[in-house]
Amino acid sequence: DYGVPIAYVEEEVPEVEKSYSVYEDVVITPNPEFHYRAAEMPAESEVVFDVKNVKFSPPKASNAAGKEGEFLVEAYRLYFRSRLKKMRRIFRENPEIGGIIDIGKLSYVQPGSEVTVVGLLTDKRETNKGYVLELEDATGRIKVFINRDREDAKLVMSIMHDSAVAVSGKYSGRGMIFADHLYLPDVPKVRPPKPPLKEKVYAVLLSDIHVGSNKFCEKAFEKFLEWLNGNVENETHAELVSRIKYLIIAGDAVDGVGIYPGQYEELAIPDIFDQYEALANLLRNVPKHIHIFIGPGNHDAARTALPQPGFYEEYARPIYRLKNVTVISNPAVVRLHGRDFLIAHGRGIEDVVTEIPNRSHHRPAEAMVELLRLRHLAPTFGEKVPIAPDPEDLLVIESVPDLFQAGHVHVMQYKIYNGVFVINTGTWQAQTEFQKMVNIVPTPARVPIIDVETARLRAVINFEQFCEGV
Amino acid sequence: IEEKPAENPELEKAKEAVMNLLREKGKPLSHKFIVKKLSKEFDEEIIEEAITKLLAEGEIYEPETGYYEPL
Amino acid sequence: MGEELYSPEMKAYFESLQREIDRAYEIARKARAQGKDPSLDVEVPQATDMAGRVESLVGPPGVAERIRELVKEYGKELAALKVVDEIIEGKFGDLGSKEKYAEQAVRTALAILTEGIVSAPLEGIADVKIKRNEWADNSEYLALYYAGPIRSSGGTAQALSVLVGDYVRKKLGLDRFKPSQEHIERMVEEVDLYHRAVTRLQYHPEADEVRLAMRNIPIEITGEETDKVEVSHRNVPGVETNHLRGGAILVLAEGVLQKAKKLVKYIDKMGVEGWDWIKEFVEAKEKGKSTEEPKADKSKAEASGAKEEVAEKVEKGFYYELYEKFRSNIAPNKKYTKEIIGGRPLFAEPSENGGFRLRYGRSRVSGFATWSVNPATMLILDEFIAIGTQMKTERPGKGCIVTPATTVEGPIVKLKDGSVVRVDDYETALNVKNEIEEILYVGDALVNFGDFVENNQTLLPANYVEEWWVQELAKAIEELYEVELKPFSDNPRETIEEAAEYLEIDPDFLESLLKDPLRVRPSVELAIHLSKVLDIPFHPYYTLYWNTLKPEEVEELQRALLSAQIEWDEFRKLKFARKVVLDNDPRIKRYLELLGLPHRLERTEDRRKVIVVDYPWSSALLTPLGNLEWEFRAKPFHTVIDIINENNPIKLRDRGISWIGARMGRPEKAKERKMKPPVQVLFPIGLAGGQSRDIKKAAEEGKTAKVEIAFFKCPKCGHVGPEHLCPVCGTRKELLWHCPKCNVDYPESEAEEFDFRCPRCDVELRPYAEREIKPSELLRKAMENVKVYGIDRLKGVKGMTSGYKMAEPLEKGLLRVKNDVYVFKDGTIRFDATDAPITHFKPKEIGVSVEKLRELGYTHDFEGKPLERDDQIVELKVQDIILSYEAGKYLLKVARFIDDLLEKFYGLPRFYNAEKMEDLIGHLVIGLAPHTSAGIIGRIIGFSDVLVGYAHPYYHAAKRRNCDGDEDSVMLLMDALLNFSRYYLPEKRGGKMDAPLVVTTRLDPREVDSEVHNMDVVRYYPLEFYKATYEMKSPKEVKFIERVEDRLGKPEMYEGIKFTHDTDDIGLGPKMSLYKQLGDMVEKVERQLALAERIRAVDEHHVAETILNSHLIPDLRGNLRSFTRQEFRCVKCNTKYRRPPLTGRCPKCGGKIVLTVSKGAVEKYLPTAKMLVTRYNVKDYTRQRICLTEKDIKTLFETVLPEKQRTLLGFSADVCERMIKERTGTSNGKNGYL
Ligand SMILES: [Fe+3]
Ligand SMILES: [Zn+2]
Ligand SMILES: [Zn+2]
Ligand SMILES: [Zn+2]
Repeated sequence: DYGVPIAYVEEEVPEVEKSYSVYEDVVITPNPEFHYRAAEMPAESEVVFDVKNVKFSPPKASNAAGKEGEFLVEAYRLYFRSRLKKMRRIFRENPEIGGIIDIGKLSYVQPGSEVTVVGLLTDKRETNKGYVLELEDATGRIKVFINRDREDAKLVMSIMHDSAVAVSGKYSGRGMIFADHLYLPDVPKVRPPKPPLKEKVYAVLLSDIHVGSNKFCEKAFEKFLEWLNGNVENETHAELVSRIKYLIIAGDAVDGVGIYPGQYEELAIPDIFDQYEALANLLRNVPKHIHIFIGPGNHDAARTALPQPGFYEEYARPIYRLKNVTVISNPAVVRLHGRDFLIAHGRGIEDVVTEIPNRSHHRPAEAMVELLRLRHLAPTFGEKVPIAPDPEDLLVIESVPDLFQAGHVHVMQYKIYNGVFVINTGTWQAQTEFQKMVNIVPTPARVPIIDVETARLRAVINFEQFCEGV
Repeated sequence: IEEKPAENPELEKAKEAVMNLLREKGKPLSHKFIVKKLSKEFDEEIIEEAITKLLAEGEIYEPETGYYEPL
Repeated sequence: MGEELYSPEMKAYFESLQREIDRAYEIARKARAQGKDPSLDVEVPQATDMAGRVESLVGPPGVAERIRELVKEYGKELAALKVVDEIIEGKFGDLGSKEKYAEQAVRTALAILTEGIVSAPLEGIADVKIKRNEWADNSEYLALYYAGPIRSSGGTAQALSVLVGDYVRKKLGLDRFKPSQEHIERMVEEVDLYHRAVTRLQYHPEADEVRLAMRNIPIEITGEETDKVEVSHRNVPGVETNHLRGGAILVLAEGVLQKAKKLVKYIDKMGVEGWDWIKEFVEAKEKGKSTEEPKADKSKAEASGAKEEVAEKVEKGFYYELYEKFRSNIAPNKKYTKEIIGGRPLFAEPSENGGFRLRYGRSRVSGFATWSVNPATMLILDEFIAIGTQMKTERPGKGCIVTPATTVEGPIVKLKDGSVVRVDDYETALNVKNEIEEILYVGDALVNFGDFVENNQTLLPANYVEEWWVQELAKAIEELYEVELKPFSDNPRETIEEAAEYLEIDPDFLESLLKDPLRVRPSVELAIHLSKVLDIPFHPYYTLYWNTLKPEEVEELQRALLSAQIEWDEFRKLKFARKVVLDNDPRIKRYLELLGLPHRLERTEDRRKVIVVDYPWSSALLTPLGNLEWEFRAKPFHTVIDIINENNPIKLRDRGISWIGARMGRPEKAKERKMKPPVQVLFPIGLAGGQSRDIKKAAEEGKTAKVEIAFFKCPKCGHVGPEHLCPVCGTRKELLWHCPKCNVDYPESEAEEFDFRCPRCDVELRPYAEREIKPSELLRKAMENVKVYGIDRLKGVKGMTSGYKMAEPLEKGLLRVKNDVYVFKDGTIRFDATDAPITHFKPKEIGVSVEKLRELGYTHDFEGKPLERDDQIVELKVQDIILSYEAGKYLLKVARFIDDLLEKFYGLPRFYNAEKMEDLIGHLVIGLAPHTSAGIIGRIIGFSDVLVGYAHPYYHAAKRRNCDGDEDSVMLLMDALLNFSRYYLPEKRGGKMDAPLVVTTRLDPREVDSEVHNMDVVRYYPLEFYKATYEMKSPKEVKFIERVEDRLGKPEMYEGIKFTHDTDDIGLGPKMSLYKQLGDMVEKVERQLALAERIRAVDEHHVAETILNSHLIPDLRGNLRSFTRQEFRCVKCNTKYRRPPLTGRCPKCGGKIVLTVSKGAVEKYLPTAKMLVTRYNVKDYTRQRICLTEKDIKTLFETVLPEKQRTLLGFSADVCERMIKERTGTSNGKNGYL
């Protein structure tokens, strides 16, 4: 394509002594006295959704004349059609919503009749009396007016661009629906309870470790590892540690290279191979009976656009070599003892806080609830979140999880919404210069421990005091 | 054709004048300039003679042909 | 005006210009009066001075007279405040509300302060409001709303606008703005965010500085959003937007804070109260600096502490000490190397030996922000520099353009055959160009002293040059032989002869040496003689770069010379070397190369290679070494020259102390202006004209077009259409005002009665409506009118962006098509060119005869001799310009268009009657710069085959341009008078910029950009100056070089300007930068690096790394990012969509949907980037970024596009595969993408 590739000419590069540590020396001796209850329990974990396992059907040549650009437009179109299809399936499960009609068929409908449509939001505008939305489905576009006084008018604020919404109301005949009701895909208020577990088992949720950053709280992380190795102060902690069987890391495991301009100056380890080496050197100190699930974030060596199938193997090889590690995609669903944990890095939060009023990156769990209600991890196209031209939308939250974990904004917060436990797991990186400037105050070195049975928080252990620069 | 006057007060004065001029400038001076400069006071032959004398006495030297500098 | 400002010649010049102007206006008025255009009169008012421009630009009517009086009495700054007083006191009429008074006062005052040229007072201030401190005590305060174009007024004027605002506030009796914490923090964030996300601020203030300013500035600095970048401090009361307010940010950061020091001066001058805080701020800053600096010094001193003590006792060489002082006073400035664009080479690293050699002086094609270099240098630098190419420079300023000067030194190069050549002329450069292995020395950069003053750059020690030597020569002659001789001028023959006699040299030679020391040089033996008898330093031409070598190296060289074969010769019994032959030892050869000594390699009879140094260089090498009669021995704390000067009777001055770095900036430009897409007539055609907006095509296809357009109705016969003049009965028609609600049209006279509101619907009437037009009918009529038929196409616009949406007569378009010219948004035809300064020219250079020049008022050359030959040097008159050939060719077409227009459209006689380019000589143009709204009259006097617009530095300054790569436009005066209309100007913000809203007829150097006041005007810089440079004085301490400033207000400000360095031809040098001739990025970067590898003063690895970091990686990452967040576009109607419509077709028109960012755009620079990380020693970090980016691109498309077999070459050759294998021991071979 580009002419003759250039051969690499071997050159003498003198071995330079590395000026930084990759933590080869971090070897934690487990407390020999300590009794791990979890080591005796049978593992019951399964990755039930992983992007890597999805087989795409690329656009057919008949739909696109075969040119590269046309393939790509078609892929993006299929991506949104797939979203619409999945969303219609979700809406159909809602008993309140009646027969859904294609927008293209509205022209056959008697003006004045009641209709229900499902579409992706293309546009919203505020008028004196209410809101005008424009919805699109695979057959056409329609304007929807909802009066400000309607109960459901409040929902307009929560609808992000390109998210799906259902509308019922009167069809005016002139290309407009006067809506009585709006529906978000949402999650049902109640769900059947899961069978209880025989014994308590815990999972630790982490994210945004940022190994390699000069702001990585290495002391705190080492303390945490010691704690996992049974070096605990009291009985309560002993009980917690003893029953931890899973450790989940939701992205930004390392700080990466070249993620933002001038990053070089802020890296303790300016080398991507060594960053993963360092991460592996830390994680090998996690007791072997604890199984680690780890997925990529925007700082990792991984595809930059969502969804992210995993780490680039050749760069993150040390992680893949660890025996008790399963690499998961972003997003992924991990089933632990029958409980579904939705794990995503959480870039969609950025769009929520810019688009929805009163949402802030200081309170990420609220933003995550908005995503949950829209049943999508990054609904808006064209804002902050990069989306790959995949012909299927894998960012739809197709089934309702028991727990939804994300990171990315470096602030820990949790909430319960309609029975789903929603948690943002904070970070292990102290405040950076950039964050200082834009007024982001991270909550580093916090370890939330989840009771798998209830999918609720059991405890938060705070190692922040060992974090330098806080 | 040359006569040799033993002690010529005029010559001594000319020598003195040449030396003064050279010392004042502190740099090599052209023969022509010295002659021209002192021509009001002295005859050209006297000046020539003064220079020759000074050269012979080692008071001045000739860094380049036709230029003189005090030693 | 009291005393006479002009000499009789200048007066005659200005009067002749005015006569020509009047003649043009008279004809244009006749044409306009016919009523075929939006306005019945010419729309470009004349102004003779600043006051006139201010009134024309911002008003209020009648203010000009007062400004003139007040300026005379109080000076410009105070006058601005007095005008504020008078406006607010109602002296210029009732303006309605308090807000209106405030607005008018601020605009007028700012216009006065910016000389009435830039459009900032018009466009930079969006609004002035009186608001309440709701969050505090609810008192009233004044808010200035800034818009993006405020940028054009420059930092000082921005700062002054705030001061003026505060003055207005007090005058109106308003309280202070009392910002809440929220307001303050919002601005802190904005300043930062702007710097990060939009453009780098020239001055990036600390958060606390912003806080201090916000707390203390008594008015609110706010504005419209300029960039779609959101802040996190949202919904702050009284702040209307949550996006960045670019105008306000600039005013605060680059205005008030950056220019605080200057502001203080004005505060004192204008006596504005309540600004003590800024004085304290400035003082604190100065103090901070002075406490910081000694600290830095101390640490340096500590580092070398021990050495320093020893040094006290040891005596140091003169140059050793000078270098020491130089190094501690003036550090290399790396700023310009932080960014290197692909294809735009770095020519020299900061202050690096072998880079540009600083030479002080001003060539006749220089003025401000210009470097003159030898055309040979341009050629040897692979023609990346052409005449007019911009460079980013280390110092004295940030940038410059390049012009030629044949009297400064060119490069010294090493050829592939091992020889070293000094390339001082173009011929030689052409001959050796393709044989170069290394550029040892890049050559001279002639920089004028004025630029050092302008930038307050400490003087760098001067390098030894001919213009310095000749003064030492003259001084020595005067001191020794009491004969006074003047360099650079004609001396009386008797004095010449007297001196020649003493020196025993040829008087003719002495005469020409003194007159033109830059071109006339003594032979080496004569140079030795002169040094010996006058005790002056060795002539600079024969002085080598001795201090590039270390003393130990010269010792080694001397040893080699002792065993060399030397042919000696004698001159006046002085010994000198005719030829030197040395063994070809690579080390010795390198030393000779570094000395800049020309030599060559030769094979001896026994097939040995030897180094041969020929006359005169043999002598240049051996004379300083005393012809080997004394022993050169290295000595601590002494440079090579120090040691030579201690031992040798002939002394040396250093010719290579001060070096400056530079890289290529923008290429030069001279091109007709075409809008995108090109337009031939400002007539809307909507979708009917297809992609190319072709009216002809629409007419042929018999389409009707639905467009928003102004229509006019004939009061006599009722004809309705877009023409101003009734095609039926010839009456001037009336504009139809339209009610968008009830769709009724009202003729202007009726609409006026209803106050331009619909009497039925009470809606504001519009001067245009969406109407149906029939292109075929309109075009047929127009064709008949001007008798233009067989045209290929006539490109209109899709829709009008102007407020009235009045269309141009189609006839104008037809005549433009006929003459192959294009129109700009304002109805005029423009030619753009890089601004280049010139103060003196030779008739033959600009293709004009001596007779013609005499007619134009050029009677004498610059030395006062009558003008008789075409190679005499003539001083340029301030409003005369020299066009590039390209401009000449294009304006010739424009002239023909204007003549056709006059004849066929207006029925008037032809005006230009120009057959060839030369016929344009003597005709007038308007020069106009972007971001300004005031043009200046210029007169064409000739043409040069270069891609720049040569004009007097004053002329550029009158447009508020300096010459560091700026470009602007010219238009024929008659074109502007006939075709410009304010009714065509776009309504959007900035629409009034770059439009001739007023034209200055007479240039007053006092009212131009003051940067040009620093230009020096002398024939040579005196010895005192060179002494001052060795002392590294501040340029401000140098009072003995006359500058424009010293002549302001006197007739001499117009005439008798001198230059220091001549050039053979102002057009000698490459015409077009190689950059513009190269193809894709790979080629650009390869050529750029090939040059980097060749230049001794450039580290190619550093270049590669910088290109990657500053250009390629940001581009790659940026495009990758935008691909995944891109908009989609309909090919047919161009509607943009945030995501592709689900039906797959455009919902508006059924058109096909396409990407706006292609896959190609994402991958574009990847091959270049990989080439760089493969071939050069870049950081691992950088290499990893490229490899990861490649992987990112690959994985992005993996799921959609079938994987092609891309690894042509075995994967082991791929730099990324290689790296992965090296680091992890294995490689799967799947990473290669290219
Ligand atoms: Fe993160
Ligand atoms: Zn009529
Ligand atoms: Zn109406
Ligand atoms: Zn379309």
